[in-house]
Amino acid sequence: MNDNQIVTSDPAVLTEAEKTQVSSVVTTIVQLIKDKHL
Amino acid sequence: MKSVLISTDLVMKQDGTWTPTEINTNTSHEMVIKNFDSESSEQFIDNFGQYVNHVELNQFLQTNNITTIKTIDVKAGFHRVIESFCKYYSGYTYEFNEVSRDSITVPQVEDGDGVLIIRIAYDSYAVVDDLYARDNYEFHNLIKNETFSSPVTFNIGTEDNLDSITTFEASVDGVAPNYVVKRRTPGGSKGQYPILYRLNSQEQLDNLKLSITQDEFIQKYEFNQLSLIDNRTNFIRSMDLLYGPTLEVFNLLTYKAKNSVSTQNNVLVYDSEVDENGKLNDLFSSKYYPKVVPNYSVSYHFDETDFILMADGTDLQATNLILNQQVKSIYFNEQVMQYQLTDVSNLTTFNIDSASVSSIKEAQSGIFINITGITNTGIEYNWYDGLNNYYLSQKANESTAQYNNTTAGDIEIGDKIFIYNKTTNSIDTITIQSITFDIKNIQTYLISLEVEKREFFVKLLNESDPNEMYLIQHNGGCDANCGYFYSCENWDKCNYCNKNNINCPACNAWISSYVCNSDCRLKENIVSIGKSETGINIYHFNYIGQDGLYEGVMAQELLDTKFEAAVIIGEDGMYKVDYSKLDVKFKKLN
Repeated sequence: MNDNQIVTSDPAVLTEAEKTQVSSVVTTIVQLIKDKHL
Repeated sequence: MKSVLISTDLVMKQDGTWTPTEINTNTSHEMVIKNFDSESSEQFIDNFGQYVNHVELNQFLQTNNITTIKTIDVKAGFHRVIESFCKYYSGYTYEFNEVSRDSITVPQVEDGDGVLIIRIAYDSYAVVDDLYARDNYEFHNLIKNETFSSPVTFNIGTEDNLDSITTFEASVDGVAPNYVVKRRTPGGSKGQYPILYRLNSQEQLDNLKLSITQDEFIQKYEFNQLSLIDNRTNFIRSMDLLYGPTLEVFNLLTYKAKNSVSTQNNVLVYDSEVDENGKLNDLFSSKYYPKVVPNYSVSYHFDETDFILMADGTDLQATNLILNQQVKSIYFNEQVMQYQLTDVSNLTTFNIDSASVSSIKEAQSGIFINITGITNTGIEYNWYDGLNNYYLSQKANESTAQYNNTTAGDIEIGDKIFIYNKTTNSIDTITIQSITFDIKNIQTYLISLEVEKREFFVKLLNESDPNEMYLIQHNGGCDANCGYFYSCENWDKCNYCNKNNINCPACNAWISSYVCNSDCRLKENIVSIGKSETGINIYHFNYIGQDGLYEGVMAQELLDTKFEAAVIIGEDGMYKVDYSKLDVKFKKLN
């Protein structure tokens, strides 16, 4: 893939560290929703 | 047990951590699906295995004694991942419940022991959807005190307003945007948002904050050079099931979706990157916002500045053209008209005739190509056209010609475009000297002729040329059997052939002509019948849930091959194939 191509390509996978951090963010968001509404 | 699939999109901040930009419920994925076979249990691993936490999902289902999975989703949506999972892990019963794309409520689906209902559709009665997914103010207000949040400014007109962008922060490298304006809630015209800014001062920031409406908000544009992949910006999408009465979280999959335009792209040419208010040029902005640019482009044949060559030899200002008028048309031979490589010598023989205008379709907004070329008598011409238009052209140092798409990379500097010299009644050439792209918000039009495989003429303007020169413009007409000329707005009716969806299944919400829905996710009963001369696999299939047998290709198989340029992603996320770039015809067999 060169820089001038306008294409869609396979997504990349996350590192374990990134997965852990993203999971923490999502869990926190859901907990905030639960705290307000459950 | 009921669940809802939510996607959370995140971008990397300067400190290397990730901040959520929004959450959504009626969501889908950006995975590029290759060699998908709905009947094959192994295809799940090939297509989704590296992204989906399938082992954990299987354990989760076993632990909760789930034997039946029911999805609620749009046709050809994310549910196909779940369906594919169920085929791979045999033993689960799968049920699909379809909703329309504009639905805001969901049908009643029977719950029970051993059942997991996965809602992948918007439900206005659900608080996650109607509050936090729909309204960015509510979402950012919810997370405002978390360390992972990023500064935002709203202007909701009450004391509850949220404004955490207080101190101006310059672009991290002097090039990337530093602020972005988005809509607070869904809506707005296509391509209007997001609006990217590169502000230089607190004063500019203060002015921007004063200018936003109640339905807009400003977000700090988070840019971290270290996050780039292939020089492309990207975002993480985390897709999680919220299940049960206490909204427990199960992470189904995560991935990083890359922008289709590189930050180092140098064929996007514009006068100025930024205006006096710090607003970035739309074309420049496409390097920094991960949207699929080809979706934001048009094919077009004329705008108000153009003239069409009429059957009587006169030029008519194109905006005065009406249906059923006779225009001058040209036909080469079958090989040329079917977009196959042909020796240039074949272009000396052609028939000039006339054809009736069967359709004039309005289009506007998008990426346009601007071409400058010189004739073999040294006259320079410059014109705009649609990004997805076609020209009969000859590559430099080649002796053959072919219809080629103007999409980035296909038509190059040094190529020759064949044009019509009315004065000498001959085919001449223009050698391309420069190609740039621009985003324009102008009214444009697509013409179709009632006779297929007839092209028409749009005048090239240069008063210094003693000859009258015309672009040979591609006919956007529809032949439901040949597959070259589809140009339709919905599944129910083809704009050009006026046939219903059984005869014109390739039609979808896509403005470009000649493009067919060729995503394997839309097809079933797929049977391989052989290969084309260039080695492309040809299949018989039917569209899921529809009658009729068709012959064509699987778009996913063309990815990462030399035919990849024929694949386009539609607004629905499905792949479409431009059959004019292949040696395969799309056919309806019965």
